[in-house]
Amino acid sequence: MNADTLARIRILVFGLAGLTCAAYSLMAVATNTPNPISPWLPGTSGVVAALVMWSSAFSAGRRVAEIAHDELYKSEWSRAIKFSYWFAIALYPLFGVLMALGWVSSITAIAAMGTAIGAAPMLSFCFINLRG
Amino acid sequence: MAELRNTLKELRAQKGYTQASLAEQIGVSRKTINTIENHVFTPSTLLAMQISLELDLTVHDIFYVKED
Repeated sequence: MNADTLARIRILVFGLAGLTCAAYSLMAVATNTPNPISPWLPGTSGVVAALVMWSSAFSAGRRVAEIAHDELYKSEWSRAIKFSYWFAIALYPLFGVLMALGWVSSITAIAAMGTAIGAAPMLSFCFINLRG
Repeated sequence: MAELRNTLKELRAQKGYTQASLAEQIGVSRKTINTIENHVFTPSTLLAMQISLELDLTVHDIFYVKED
């Protein structure tokens, strides 16, 4: 396995885990329930993503893993985290308005915000990486 | 605003390296070299020096500041 393959696996698992979390968040808001699907799904998708990433990097070897996690990766991940920070802050007034309007309950807001904040760094990393 | 530009693509080709072979020698991904050449990614001082050392050039041979 080379560094390009490892990078592709990373995009795939980040994308799948991010989409799972984002879908959970959107469904929670749309149905105004904290459990639109199994509440274990977002967390499990994150754990599976971590396990796949770790096992791929382990089987590829230290040098290939270091190449795949080089300066460009760190820069892109840093940009994704910066975006996610402001995205997370922006969710508070947004959900404040939604709750004030009675569109979502407080317990739904917690579930939706939590999963949206989890999805943000993974999906924004995929976007930044694929655009570059 | 001043911008860091480079002539890496031409110099790399002159030295007989592909993006993949240069990346392999330096220990970065091929995409990193590609994004540097396309002015999408600005490398750190360390990486710029590693590239110039591998190509047996100085940093100033490869990188230059472009003023608006």
